[in-house]
Amino acid sequence: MDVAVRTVNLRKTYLSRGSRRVAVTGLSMTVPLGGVHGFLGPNGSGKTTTIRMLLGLVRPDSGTAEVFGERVPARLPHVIDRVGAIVESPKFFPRFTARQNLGLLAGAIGTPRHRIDEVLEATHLADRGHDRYAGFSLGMKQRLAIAATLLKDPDLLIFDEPTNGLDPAGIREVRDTMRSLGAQGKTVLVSSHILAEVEQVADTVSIIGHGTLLAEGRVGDILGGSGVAQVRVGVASPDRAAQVLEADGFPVTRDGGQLVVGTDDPSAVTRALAGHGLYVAELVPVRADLESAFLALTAEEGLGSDADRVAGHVQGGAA
Amino acid sequence: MSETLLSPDSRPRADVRPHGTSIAGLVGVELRRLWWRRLTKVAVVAVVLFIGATVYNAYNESSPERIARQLDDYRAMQQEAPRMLEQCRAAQAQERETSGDSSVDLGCEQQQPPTLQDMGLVLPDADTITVGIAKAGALLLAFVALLLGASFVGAEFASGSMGTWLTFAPRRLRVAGTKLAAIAVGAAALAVLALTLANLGARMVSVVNRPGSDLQLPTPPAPDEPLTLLGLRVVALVVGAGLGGAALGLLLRHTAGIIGVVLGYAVVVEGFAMNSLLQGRLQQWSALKNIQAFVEKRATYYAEDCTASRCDFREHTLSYTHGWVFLLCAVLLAVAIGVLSFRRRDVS
Repeated sequence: MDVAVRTVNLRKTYLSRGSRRVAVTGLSMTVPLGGVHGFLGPNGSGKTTTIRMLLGLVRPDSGTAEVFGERVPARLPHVIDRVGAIVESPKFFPRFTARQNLGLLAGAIGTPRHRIDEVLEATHLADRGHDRYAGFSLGMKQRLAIAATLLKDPDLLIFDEPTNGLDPAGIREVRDTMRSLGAQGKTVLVSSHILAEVEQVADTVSIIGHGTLLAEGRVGDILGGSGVAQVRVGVASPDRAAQVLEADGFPVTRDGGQLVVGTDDPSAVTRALAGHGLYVAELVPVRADLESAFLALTAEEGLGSDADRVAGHVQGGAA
Repeated sequence: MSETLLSPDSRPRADVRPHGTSIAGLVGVELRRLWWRRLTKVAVVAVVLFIGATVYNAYNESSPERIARQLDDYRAMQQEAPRMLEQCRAAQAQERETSGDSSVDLGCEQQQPPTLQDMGLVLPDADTITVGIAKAGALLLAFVALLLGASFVGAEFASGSMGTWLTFAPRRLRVAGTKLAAIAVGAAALAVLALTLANLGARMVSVVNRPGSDLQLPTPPAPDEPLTLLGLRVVALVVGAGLGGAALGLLLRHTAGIIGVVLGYAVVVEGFAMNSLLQGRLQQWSALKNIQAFVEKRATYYAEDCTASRCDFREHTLSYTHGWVFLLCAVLLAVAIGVLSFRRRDVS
């Protein structure tokens, strides 16, 4: 497999006011070349620190990181022109205009000047190029940050929580942009604590918690391996139906007047109930999603409180 | 239709891809940023206003009206001189008679009427005026450059733009070097601007206020060195202050923090400790005294000297060499610590 990013046993500890906080604990992960790779984890799980280490902003205590096969940060200058990144919120000089900010960055890497017009056009900021960055809305700031990454025409784009604070239209724009970049063959590494957001665009994911890798692979494989397939059943006599299903070995939980049955075979449920003269009024397969997979994984690792926080954000993010 | 932030780009990649920037190119980018900053423009305006004010002051000092007033005073004192000498001699004679001591001397013979130069009545000379402005303004220019340097780097950390910058230019030593080079060039330009304006203003004053041929005023003593040398020292001082400010920016990462440290140093160390501790002997390590020694080629201070039997406050001299060596070491140390700190520490 061709690899865009690889980390091996990456570890970072922050010292603050005499206390030590381990942000990343021996993280080993792989981001394949091309497509969108989701980098998932609750707030404080080490995503941003990992990204900062990949970009040479933060020095790891131990372990190694590679971008396009080059060790970083030592060999970062050799690949930096192929990497575009937005770390946390966009950060530019607030009193300078969008065009001035991009002009400085373009000058730093020797990008042709016409590229500034092109990326402003591409991010729908052409008519705001002479406006100060400080006056931009959050969505426009995010678009300017994307414009900055595009100055390089990078092969790897790193977006850290790219939809934070955006309105639904902005979220959709950014999501479509990531999908489009991935479809062009570029590698997009997107970190997020909003699982639903990543699930919609990512081909592969790495899930971390407390600075360590919990799972990694194609989204389908992660969902398939999570063992969370369920069927929601509506039936006239839920108590009786629950007894029948439990007797047949199905795990059953009550959800109001409905039953949630743990199985990936809905027909087995209808057969079991019909055999006892119970007929289903509603049968809805509950699709396994990344949130469920994440909750299952974090529960296994004893990260319950983190997982709850993420679940809360999922609801907030999906609303 | 779903909107993306990307438009299909049909350009060849070679047309789009960055082709790298030399160190000189990076310095150019930093200089552009320095010029675009509001504080830079404020500093330029402040320096122009300061030089304007000092030139105006020099014009007033040598204006025909003032010279006329001083001449009146001079003539009055010349007329008064014989009478005062007589009064002094009379007082001396009375004192000798009263005391019976014929050696009593009230110094009457040393009393001379003031000369034109004693009264400040000299021809307005461009070089002399420029030297005065340069010496008076050197410290202010240095402080402005220090503030510019500190803010130039500190604001980049405070806004978070340093992180963005490093994702484009990740070589930290190179980044620090180009920022320091840019502030050095900017500070030098500011100092050259100030000195040029001061010299032009001084020449204007010397021409405008040149008295008519009917009035013969003495020429002031010529400066003891070419004006260019003093100018170069002022430029070097301002460049050093700019570098020191930028180095503090790399170290402390916050403009307000740097200003706090500088003001704290000025009050606690320069204002209190240097004078109060060790009977003034610390003053040889005072930044202000060494700046004075560097710019004016010597500086003096009073400190207590003790022998086996007694202690006296005596005047000590700081040499020009002491001044420049001290300042050079201070700037180099600040730059080395700032750059090493920037190279090692994480950037948020």
